[in-house]
Amino acid sequence: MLKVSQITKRYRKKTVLENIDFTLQSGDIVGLVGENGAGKSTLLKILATLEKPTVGTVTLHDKSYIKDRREIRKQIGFVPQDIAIWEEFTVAENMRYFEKLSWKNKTDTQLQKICTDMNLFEWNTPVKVLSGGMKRKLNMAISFIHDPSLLLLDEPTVGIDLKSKKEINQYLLHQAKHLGKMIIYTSHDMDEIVHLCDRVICIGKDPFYVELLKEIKKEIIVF
Amino acid sequence: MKHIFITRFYQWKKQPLSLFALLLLPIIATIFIVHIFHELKDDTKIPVGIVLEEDTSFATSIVDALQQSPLVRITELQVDEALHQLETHQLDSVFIIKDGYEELIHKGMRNQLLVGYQSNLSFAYAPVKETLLSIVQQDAGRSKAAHTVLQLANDNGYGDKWTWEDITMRSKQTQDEENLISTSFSFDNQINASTPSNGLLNPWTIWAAFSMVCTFLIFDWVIREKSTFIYSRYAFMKDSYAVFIIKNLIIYFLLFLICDLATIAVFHYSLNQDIQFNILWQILSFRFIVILCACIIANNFKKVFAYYGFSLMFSILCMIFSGNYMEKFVLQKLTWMNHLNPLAVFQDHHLHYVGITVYIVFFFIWFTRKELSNA
Repeated sequence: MLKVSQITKRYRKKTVLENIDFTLQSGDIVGLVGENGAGKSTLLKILATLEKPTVGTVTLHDKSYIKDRREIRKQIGFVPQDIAIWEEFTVAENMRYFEKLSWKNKTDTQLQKICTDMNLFEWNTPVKVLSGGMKRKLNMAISFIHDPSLLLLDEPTVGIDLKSKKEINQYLLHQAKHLGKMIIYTSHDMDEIVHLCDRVICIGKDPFYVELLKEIKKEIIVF
Repeated sequence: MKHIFITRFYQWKKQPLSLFALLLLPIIATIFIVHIFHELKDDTKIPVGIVLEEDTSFATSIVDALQQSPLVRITELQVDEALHQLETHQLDSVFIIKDGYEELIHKGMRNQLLVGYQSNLSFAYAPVKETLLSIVQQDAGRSKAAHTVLQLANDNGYGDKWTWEDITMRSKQTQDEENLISTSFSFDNQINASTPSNGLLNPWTIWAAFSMVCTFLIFDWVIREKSTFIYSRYAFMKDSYAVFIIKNLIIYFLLFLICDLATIAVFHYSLNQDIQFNILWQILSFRFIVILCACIIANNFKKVFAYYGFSLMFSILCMIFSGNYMEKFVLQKLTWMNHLNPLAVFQDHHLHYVGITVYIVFFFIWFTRKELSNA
């Protein structure tokens, strides 16, 4: 369980996030929406332990983000918005490279399965010749090598074709509903949010988003 | 450690040529420059022909003595060929050591022993002639001394104990052993340690300069790892970025050390460089400092080409301040700089504790800052 309690983030005098408070249970998928600069990425970075909240606490499986940071990081699969892979490597080499640096040892078969589960079958193809969608899938596959229980995805489907987007969403749904993983997902695509998420967290109280979310029959939390 | 080696191997596999080229460049460039220098040095020497009409030890010792001169290139020829080359100005001058030279020296003769030829373009005839005359005078003096010793031996009843040949041979041997011109003198029993030359054309000086530049170029991997988005993944990996860098430094240190040991062997066989124990300490200090220096500098750059430019400038400055281009008294006022200069450290001929300690402190500061920002 992920418990976010009253977190506030300030950069000098500017408050980016204020009193964010929510809980995630196993199998939950939560969408983070809001205008650009509202603080979605900051919240995601706090949840990924890459930044510290100015006020408030976060716990994952009852472990504190302050005291058990190293243990917490073993449980997090963070998919950065930018594609963080070696372009000159093949898919296989990328997977093997990051497996060597990861917390968990995996065989080639296990690594290949992570890719095929995402419909990424180009195992021996150099990354530089892959399509944008395939690169996004690999970017995600690398983040999931160590079997994290909390998946944090920063706009993972931005700029890719519909088919790849659908395949990624299917994969994430499977991870949450069958394997019990918690997923927090930022996106500007409302259709995607509606289709994928159980709950939506709107950051920034922007009237446009608030009005838009009223039409969605999902649990909405506005901060 | 094994897993880091495997990841590094993946990276090397993608650019094997540039890695090998940069690892081998210091060796190849040094051998090339040293050979080119020797070729040029030979070309600037004045060509002088020598005709030996007899091959006695006295006659050949004249050729040996002339060959020691840094200004003339001696070629042994037959009379006809030597005179033809003199006429066509391929030779500056020709000297013929006549048949019976040793016998005439034995008899105490000093005249008509050599014949010299010059052309209208000769300009080294006179100095070479003077050199030859001094050698003949020396041989004649040695012969006279041998006769005197023999006379004294006869007078004192030791007539058949030594021959003229024995005495002259022993005299030459003593002259070579004493080598008065280049003897090191010491005062009050202080040991005057002779150290290898650090001159600009010392192969190790050239190698160190190239090796430093190549090490910097190889260390662009630090920027590539840091400036890509991959950097964001290190927070979720087994090793933090700082630990990852340290483990990679160990791998690179071992890789360079293997190449450096190979360099010692290659220089021994191709450039006749002695394998001395202190070269190991020199290389260890130098390699350790260069690797830490390259890593610290690379960590402060985001653009590879800016790093290349800076490291090239830094290497040139290190060369200038290493003592080969600057007067020693200037450097004596900048001793602190010598501790930081990898090339100056290399020329110290021993394990350089101060330089190593300074770089370890710098690296530790960087490491601590990285770890704190990651915590």
